[in-house]
Amino acid sequence: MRTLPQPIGVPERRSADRFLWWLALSERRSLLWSGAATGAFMVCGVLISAALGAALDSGLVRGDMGALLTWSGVLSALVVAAVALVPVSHRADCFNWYASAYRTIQAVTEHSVRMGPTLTRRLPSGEVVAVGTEDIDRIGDFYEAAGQILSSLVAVAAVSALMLTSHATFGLVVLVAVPLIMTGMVPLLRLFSRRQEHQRDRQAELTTLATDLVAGLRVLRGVGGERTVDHRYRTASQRVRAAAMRVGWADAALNAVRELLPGLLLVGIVWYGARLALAGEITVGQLVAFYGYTGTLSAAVRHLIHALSLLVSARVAAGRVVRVLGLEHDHPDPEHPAREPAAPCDLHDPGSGVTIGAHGTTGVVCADPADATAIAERLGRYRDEEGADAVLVDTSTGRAVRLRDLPRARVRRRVLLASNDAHLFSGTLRDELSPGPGVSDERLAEVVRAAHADDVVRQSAAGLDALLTERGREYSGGQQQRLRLARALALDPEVLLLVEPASAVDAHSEAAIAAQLPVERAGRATGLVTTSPLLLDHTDRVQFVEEGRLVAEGAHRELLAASPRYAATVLRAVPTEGKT
Amino acid sequence: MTQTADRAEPAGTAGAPREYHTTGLPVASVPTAWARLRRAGREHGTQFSVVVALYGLAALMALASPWVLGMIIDTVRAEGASSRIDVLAALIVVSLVLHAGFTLASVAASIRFGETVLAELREEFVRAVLRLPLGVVERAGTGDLVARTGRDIGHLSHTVRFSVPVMAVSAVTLVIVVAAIAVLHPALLLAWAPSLVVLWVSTRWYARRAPNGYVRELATYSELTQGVTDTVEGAHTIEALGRQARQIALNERRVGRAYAAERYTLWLRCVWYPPLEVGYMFPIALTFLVAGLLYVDGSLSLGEVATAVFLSRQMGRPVDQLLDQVDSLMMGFTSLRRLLGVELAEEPSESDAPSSGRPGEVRLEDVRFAYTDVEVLHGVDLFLRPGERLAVVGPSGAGKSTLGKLVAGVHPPTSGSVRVSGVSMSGLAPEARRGRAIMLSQESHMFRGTVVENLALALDLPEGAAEVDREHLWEALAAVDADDWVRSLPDGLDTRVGSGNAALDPARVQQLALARVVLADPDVLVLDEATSLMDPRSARHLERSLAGVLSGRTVVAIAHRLHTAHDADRIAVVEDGRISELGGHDELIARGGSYAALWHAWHGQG
Repeated sequence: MRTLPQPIGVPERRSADRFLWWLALSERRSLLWSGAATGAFMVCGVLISAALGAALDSGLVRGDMGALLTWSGVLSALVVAAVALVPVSHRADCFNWYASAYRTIQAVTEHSVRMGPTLTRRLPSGEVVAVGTEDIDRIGDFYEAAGQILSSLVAVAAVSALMLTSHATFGLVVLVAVPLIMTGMVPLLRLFSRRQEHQRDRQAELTTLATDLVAGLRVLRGVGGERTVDHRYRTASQRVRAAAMRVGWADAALNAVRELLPGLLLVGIVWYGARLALAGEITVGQLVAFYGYTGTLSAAVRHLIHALSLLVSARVAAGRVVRVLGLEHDHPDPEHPAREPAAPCDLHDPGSGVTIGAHGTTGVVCADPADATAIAERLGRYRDEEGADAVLVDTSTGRAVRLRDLPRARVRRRVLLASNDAHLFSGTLRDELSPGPGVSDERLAEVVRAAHADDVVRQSAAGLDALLTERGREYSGGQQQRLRLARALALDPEVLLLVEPASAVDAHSEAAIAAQLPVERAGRATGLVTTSPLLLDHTDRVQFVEEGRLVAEGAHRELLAASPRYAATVLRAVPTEGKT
Repeated sequence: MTQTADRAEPAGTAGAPREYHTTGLPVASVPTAWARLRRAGREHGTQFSVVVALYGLAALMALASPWVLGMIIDTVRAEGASSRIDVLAALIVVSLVLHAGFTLASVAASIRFGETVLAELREEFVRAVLRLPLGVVERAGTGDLVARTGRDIGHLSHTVRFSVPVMAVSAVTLVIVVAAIAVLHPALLLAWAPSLVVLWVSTRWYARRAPNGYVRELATYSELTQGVTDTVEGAHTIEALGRQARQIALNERRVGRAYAAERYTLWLRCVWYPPLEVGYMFPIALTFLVAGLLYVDGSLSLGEVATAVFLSRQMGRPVDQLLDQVDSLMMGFTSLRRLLGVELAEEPSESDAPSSGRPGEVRLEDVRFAYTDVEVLHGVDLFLRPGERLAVVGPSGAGKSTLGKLVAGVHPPTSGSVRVSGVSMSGLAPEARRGRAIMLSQESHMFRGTVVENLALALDLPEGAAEVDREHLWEALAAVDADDWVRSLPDGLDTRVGSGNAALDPARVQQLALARVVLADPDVLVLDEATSLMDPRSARHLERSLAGVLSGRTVVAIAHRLHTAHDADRIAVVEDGRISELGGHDELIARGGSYAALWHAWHGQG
């Protein structure tokens, strides 16, 4: 068995069926192998029936002990062969499950990674997570059974061949009847799949509801609302139950018909065979063998129907997978990327007139917080606005290149927009802070110091090897914020845009951060989008924005003196007047 | 085949991200799970008996064809009338139709039964999740819970919807076929004797090893889910930091671990299946031998020999299915234990306790607290009179948030006592506790749904209560300065927010979270950086308008912004797990201590 996971290549994402076909092609060898192994197992069953018939026709009728022992031996040999095949086919089937499910989960996570901010903007995160928890099961279940499609066809072919050689009519009956039985079940299967899809949707809603509930559990337990949410979940759960019962009727009917139709074929064969046997056209042994074959045929039909109904579920699941895979990034790469301007560069936002200078720290103060968000997003290329796209300006030549004309990966590499909604991942502190492998402890200690986050590292005896649980929840808001800052500093981008980087830390720490930032970022461009007087006091220059446009520019203290509106924006937060 | 999962993990490549394993939530014991199943049996016993009876009838009808086949063979051998063959064939048709009818009824009934039990179990699970103590939720993380709500409910669904009915039908079929063979000739059952031993021994071998294998397997899938959650929720950050390759590698390692766990259980099955298969296929050959001997002996007709062989062949499928479901049953059982485990994490609590103090009074006496073995608070005494506003300041990590959590009863103190309105908080049920104190932290969550639904959570109206009073909601929104922008949303109060809907910026999420607390209206309110994501001016404006609404309520505001402290009645400076200064603004400035230093730093005079 190969090791997994394997590199997955480029997944097909145009439709659910194409995706499933892509998976099948990727695992074609293993699928064929499992089909062959299971097929051989079923052929053993056919041969057992044939041997039984031959045994009855042989000396057994006359009570010949030798014939009895010989045929018992033959039957035993066939049983041994069948048994030997079981682990082989089971391993192949299971491998198909693993390979297809893992390939799907890899495709989804890899695409999620590529989609960046687009992902959760376009799809509920619960839905994408559900692909990783439920849909992979459905897809895996189908491929686990997919080998049976092939093996059932092999079994049907073997039975027809044997019957054709002993009595042509019977062989023809089988060849006509099996496709007829399958066709006869199609309408029911359709009904089943339609209802099942409805149920799956309800089920997905229920899962999204549960995931959302779990994600917000802190709020629910802290502030309340359990009763409301519980009621909402129960309602959705009962809807799933009702939908599942509707599926149940279709399922039951399918089960019944699956027994009935092959059964009718069996009666036909037995009845016609018995008449022929009575007329002496076939032997009793042949009649018995035919009866046995019909058992294999019903098993084949059962397997085919089973595989088909799993296919129906897998298609629904694949549809959801394709919906994720079909997402396109909101900020696409340019078709013809422009030549990259060489560092050092100024980062300029024509929309507001703000420029983050190539050297030193630039404070950006906006009277309206909404402007701050817009400017930061344009400068980081998280918002494309025709005519207002941010540009990198080569300081030596003056050549300006729009960020949207550069490959996105390059923009992210050079410009980092660090905001407070950045995610903290589970893992060790060291991994979380290191931009790549092999970063020295000294370097990490340096950025930790610059972000004034020594206490965060010291909190655990394990130091940098301390574990961060999901989203860094064991750390306070201020500690998380300083970890994010240290992480951004460690990456050491050419342009670093920090949005309110100290909004959740105490004044002492904020002052320390304000003093250390320019030192840590010496020689590189740093933009501070903030209204904190502590941070602004340590910047080289400040740009003041009102109503979306740059209105004043200068050092923090100069602006404080020269622009009353600036002073009002920055200092109104500070209690300068007496107690109210 | 190697037993990969049993071996130690191969050492990770240098510098590759290390994996984090959560300790997770408890798993219920085996007897607990059985007790729950017995309860389901008691509650749905009648329904279950009907299902079994219908399956039995269906299985009985399925016996007709091999039986009639024997009669037909004997008719042929005796060169009987062809009309007798017609009658016998018609008999099979009748039994077939009946079999189909009973199958329809039994499958439908069993789905009905299964869905009812399933809905009950998952609703019970969610109810248990909703009763989890806050402290547990914060420690365990949501990955494990998401896996339990997704995968474990899924496994259980499969077991209840599929395995249990299949096992029921197989068991019933088995009994009926054995009875039929015994009627034919009891000696024929001898062919099954060796199988019993083989099946028993091999299944025991398997059943002893499998549960642990499956528990481990499920744990690896929990981790995989955590990885997917991290990837999806952190996709934004992954792109910003250029961590795509790292995240993909991490996910692949998780997949690799799941695969290793799967290979172990696969190995177990590959050892178990061959004897199993021998167990139910060999009797076909043996039955032929025994029946042949009985035929030679004259005890059986040739037709009966055929019937015997086909009946024993018909036994293969139920035995196979019965044992095949052992797997799924164990998975389902493990999942059930994981789901029931959540109930174990519940806190024992009194619904309410007589109150001896005035509402809104907070009293901490020599309070110490340690999360693990490291003490975070070292003996804190504090008394707040009702309606007082206390600001808590101090360096990050000094224990401010911990102090807040103790006041709100999120964690019980390690020693000392915390009394709010005269009642010790730690023993109270959350509903009772929330009436006294609520803590609001920086991080909040918007649920998928409308703004109204998000706000109304705080009211937690009982089922069937009257519509939410919108005027009331608007008042709360006005108190947190959110009425203007909520009015400007596309559908106002009915705008859909939360995952997958319009994203609200974090400052607005904080405002709505505050509005929730205003609606909940506790005696004591602990605000832990609850306005930190808002811009400072708006934050100050909000805090002042909030103060109007909350007058008479005791407020503990943990804040780094000094205007909060300035506006408060008293200020507590927390340093190194102790309250180092306590007093009014002017008093502390005059004292020239730590607070005064902070104040001057803020003014750029530091």
